[in-house]
Amino acid sequence: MDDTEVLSRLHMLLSSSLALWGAGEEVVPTREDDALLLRLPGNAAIVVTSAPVEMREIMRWSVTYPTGRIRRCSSILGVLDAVRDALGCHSDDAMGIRIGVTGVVS
Amino acid sequence: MTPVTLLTGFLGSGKTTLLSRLLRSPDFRDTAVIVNEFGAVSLDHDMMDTADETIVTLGNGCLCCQSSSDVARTLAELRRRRAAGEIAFRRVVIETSGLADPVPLLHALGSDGVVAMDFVLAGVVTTVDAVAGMATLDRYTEARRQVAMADVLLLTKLDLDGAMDAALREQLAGLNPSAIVMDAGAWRGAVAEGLLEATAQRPLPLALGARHSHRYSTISILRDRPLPALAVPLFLEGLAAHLGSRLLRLKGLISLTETPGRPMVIHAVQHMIHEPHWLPDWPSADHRSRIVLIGHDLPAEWPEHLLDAIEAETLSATAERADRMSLAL
Repeated sequence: MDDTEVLSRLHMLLSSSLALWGAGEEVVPTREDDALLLRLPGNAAIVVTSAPVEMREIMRWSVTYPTGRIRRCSSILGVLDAVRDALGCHSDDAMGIRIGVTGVVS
Repeated sequence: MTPVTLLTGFLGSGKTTLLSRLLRSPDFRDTAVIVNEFGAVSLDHDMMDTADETIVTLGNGCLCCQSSSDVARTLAELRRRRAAGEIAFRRVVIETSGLADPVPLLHALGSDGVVAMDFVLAGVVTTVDAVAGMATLDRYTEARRQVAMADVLLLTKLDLDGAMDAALREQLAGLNPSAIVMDAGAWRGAVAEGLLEATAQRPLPLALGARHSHRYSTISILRDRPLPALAVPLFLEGLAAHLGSRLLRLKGLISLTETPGRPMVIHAVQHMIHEPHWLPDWPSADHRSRIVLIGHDLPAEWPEHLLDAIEAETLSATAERADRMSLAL
């Protein structure tokens, strides 16, 4: 799976995530070279770029906030979290995963 | 391990009648029953025609509204009495009140370490009144949640005038197409064992994608290609983080790259993931992964996009790691 395909799938995921977070009408992600750009009202933007291959044991993505702050992410889940944070779309629904101690009857 | 079946269903849907019948049947011997009632006076316990001491009535109030430790404490007490030789049982049925939300109860079963030493969830069985069921489902959120959480839906009162079989089944399929639907009169209780596995092995509903009813929806995902094992926990983590309480249940039979001959069964109640297990073989010639999500206000395409992106990233990371290792050698 090459970088282009990964970025393409992240693009689709971000598009539907914006709708999920209620920001789909104001923000539309676009692809520009090796980055995804989310333009905000007022000409600000959130930029998502993939990290150089040699860095990927440590980080795979960078998310640049409209303020210039950069958040490094080790997975697509981190990108989702960072973009949602940058947009201010906090959800009361969010839950951390819990692993149950029981199994199922087999 | 002792299987625990959660028997739920709206007020008047026939839970107690069903249990009373089952408790008289030889198939249902050695069953401990935990009864929960919503009211000041316990009636259900008295209505069960049995002298069995393994029927325990919990205190007044709706079971799901009480501390989950009540369920754990009751199960621990049953365990203690069995160990002391006072009672004998091989399975447990918890009958909820008609207004109970099954989710907190399932969390209680899945999160208590003491309970886990002896008890495992067998599944959720929900009774649905074939006469009044459609109107009840239209009016009451609790009834819809009970249906949405079920592994088996038992239709009661099918012999009465006004019973709606086909129309009701259609409505139930809209709420939970992954559940087994059957006549309550045909249920012998014994099939409760292995329910989760049985429902996970069932073919997906014919209509893939999303189905909606009363803001409840089901999303079915089908994958031809095996998934890398690492993608599964990341997918579940993403669902929990972004869908939260909207997601009621998830069931899946998953083909993994690492164990292609042995499908993995996963099962989650909201954000609580029960320990996965692997079947010895595929139940049919269809080896595709299938995942069913049931919840309310679920975004139709988002879960599949999430899985697509995680799968791509995981495959990419695995390939890069292999490249690095080959260069290092």
